[in-house]
Amino acid sequence: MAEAVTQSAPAPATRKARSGADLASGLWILVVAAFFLLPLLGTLIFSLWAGGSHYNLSNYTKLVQSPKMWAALWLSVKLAIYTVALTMVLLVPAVLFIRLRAPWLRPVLEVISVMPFVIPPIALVQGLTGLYSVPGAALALPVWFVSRPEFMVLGYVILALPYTYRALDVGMSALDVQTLTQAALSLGANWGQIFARVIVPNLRTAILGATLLTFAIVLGEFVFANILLFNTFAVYINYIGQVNGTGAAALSLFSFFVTWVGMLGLLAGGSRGQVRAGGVG
Amino acid sequence: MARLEIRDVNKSYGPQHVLRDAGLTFAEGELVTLLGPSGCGKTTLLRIIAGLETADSGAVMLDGADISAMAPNRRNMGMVFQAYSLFPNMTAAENVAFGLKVRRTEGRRRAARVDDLMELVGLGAFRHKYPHQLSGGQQQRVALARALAISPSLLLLDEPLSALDARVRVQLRDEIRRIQQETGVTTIFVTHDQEEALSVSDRVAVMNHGRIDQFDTPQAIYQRPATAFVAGFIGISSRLEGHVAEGGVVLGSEVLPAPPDHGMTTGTQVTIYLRPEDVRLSPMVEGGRRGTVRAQTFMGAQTRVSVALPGGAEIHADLATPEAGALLPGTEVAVDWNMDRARILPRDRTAA
Ligand SMILES: Nc1ncnc2c1ncn2[C@@H]1O[C@H](COP(=O)(O)OP(=O)(O)OP(=O)(O)O)[C@@H](O)[C@H]1O
Ligand SMILES: [Mg+2]
Repeated sequence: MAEAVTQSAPAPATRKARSGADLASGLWILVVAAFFLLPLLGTLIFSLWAGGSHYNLSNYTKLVQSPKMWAALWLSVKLAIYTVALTMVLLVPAVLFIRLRAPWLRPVLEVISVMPFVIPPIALVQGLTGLYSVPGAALALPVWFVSRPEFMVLGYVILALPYTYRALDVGMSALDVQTLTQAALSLGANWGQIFARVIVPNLRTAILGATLLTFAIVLGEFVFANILLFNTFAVYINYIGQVNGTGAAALSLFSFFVTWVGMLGLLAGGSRGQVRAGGVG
Repeated sequence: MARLEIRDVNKSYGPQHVLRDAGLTFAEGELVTLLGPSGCGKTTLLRIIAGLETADSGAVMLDGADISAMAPNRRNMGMVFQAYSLFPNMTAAENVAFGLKVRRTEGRRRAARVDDLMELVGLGAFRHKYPHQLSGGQQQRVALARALAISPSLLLLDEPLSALDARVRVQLRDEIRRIQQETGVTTIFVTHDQEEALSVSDRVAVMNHGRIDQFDTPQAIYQRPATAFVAGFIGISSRLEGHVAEGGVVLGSEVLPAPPDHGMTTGTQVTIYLRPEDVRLSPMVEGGRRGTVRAQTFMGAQTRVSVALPGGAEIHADLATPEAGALLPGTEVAVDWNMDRARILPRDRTAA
């Protein structure tokens, strides 16, 4: 848009300067694109290699026909969904409460939210097991729960916290939540109605962003599952990588594809809502 | 319709005493303005009435029942906030419908009521616009319609016009008054603008540092301000200092007649307040009270002339603009006023 407007009547001197700048920025974009795309291209070629000078899609056909792959992918997706759900149930009210009633707690939550950057996942998983699943531990949970992959959701919520907290916090800063909740209260709404009709719809974009990031993290998380011996998608990629190099390349590209399709789908759904909500949120 | 009574409400934030024994009784269907400078506790008092804040002591009584502990979402009070407060994810009509939706009002009745209210605030054509597509004035109208939609027992307006430009303010304030009279809803209107307060209210409560200084009709407030603060705040700008003596008030070297019923003992230090429209300026004559024109402030049809008296006091007079033309700074004039229209109050050392 802006481009078209500026180019409609350019002065000769600026046109020259502009084309120089265009060239430089074009080159730069090319360099950046190469940096990101070359490894992908390499992976793609490698994944099509079938020994000698043969190239075909056999890795991919094997992949989509492998029930193990689908099981691992489905487990990871399921865990991601649970993680998102638990995160939202815990975090949206918490962030709202802190904004409304306890602003002095904000720095505390801020510090807590970046902990996963400081604590390595290996320590986190040991801590979680020590706390919840060793018999007689402080907060021992029933064995049927800690022996299920869903147990890892507790850890994933923490792992995703730096991203989910920030997304929600930024989303709420764009709203005058104090006034909006008070307006809703004075109109007779209860807290459930305030969440469902006022807070969540206006946090749509933030929640979407948090969801995308959580999916990316959970689909790629390896340490937890590997240590606790659950066969998630990342663990499966690692396993294939050890037994079949070209198959692993195909799987990586496949997971890349799955993630992108998922993200674009969510974004498309989200931006439709965005238009309806009039660019707020 | 409802009768509201506020009894000796106190509220502190930490060491700061924001409301001090605030008490008011409202009549059914009247529009009362809470008038006071920024930070005097108007919003806090309104929020206590709405239940969004709790008082440290005192009570809020509605129709004789103490509602101090009632949750805000059960009070059925419509509120319009100082900040824009429409729900950004809903259209104007959906905003107005919100209170009815949470009350589970049946769909057809709800739609009819929303239509009525959008018409009432003059925004029938803007039903399907989102808040960000509306001007500030339109947003506040929608907020007003939204508050009225629930047929509130009380309408609370917290400086709904403060973010709007002067013309829209005047227009919308008159409209609020019209709508309030049409619906007959008891209304509390907060403002720090004395002209706004005097022009729309049945009664005005003037607040000063968390205290109600005076609660009376606009006419009474303007003609008989109860305290120095009220006099100053509603724009009675000339003050002359003197003391009570036999037969009147001593001001410099003259004794001015004072109304016999002022009830102050001889020797009391007093301030005489004069409204600018009650001060007369005329060409200097022998024996007249002499003053020197200091400055003029053009206000349109009228011009405010500031005159220095020999004692150093400054007095303001509003003159028709053509009359003020000759009174350039430095001109000597005779200053006069009618003591009957002056207000004499014991000197308040705290109010500057
Ligand atoms: N939540 C709070 N915490 C601490 N102090 C507060 C709080 N709310 C209000 N105050 C203080 O109480 C005093 C009165 O505030 P209030 O909002 O009632 O003033 P106001 O009369 O509405 O002013 P304005 O005309 O500027 O809106 C102010 O000095 C303010 O700093
Ligand atoms: Mg206020």
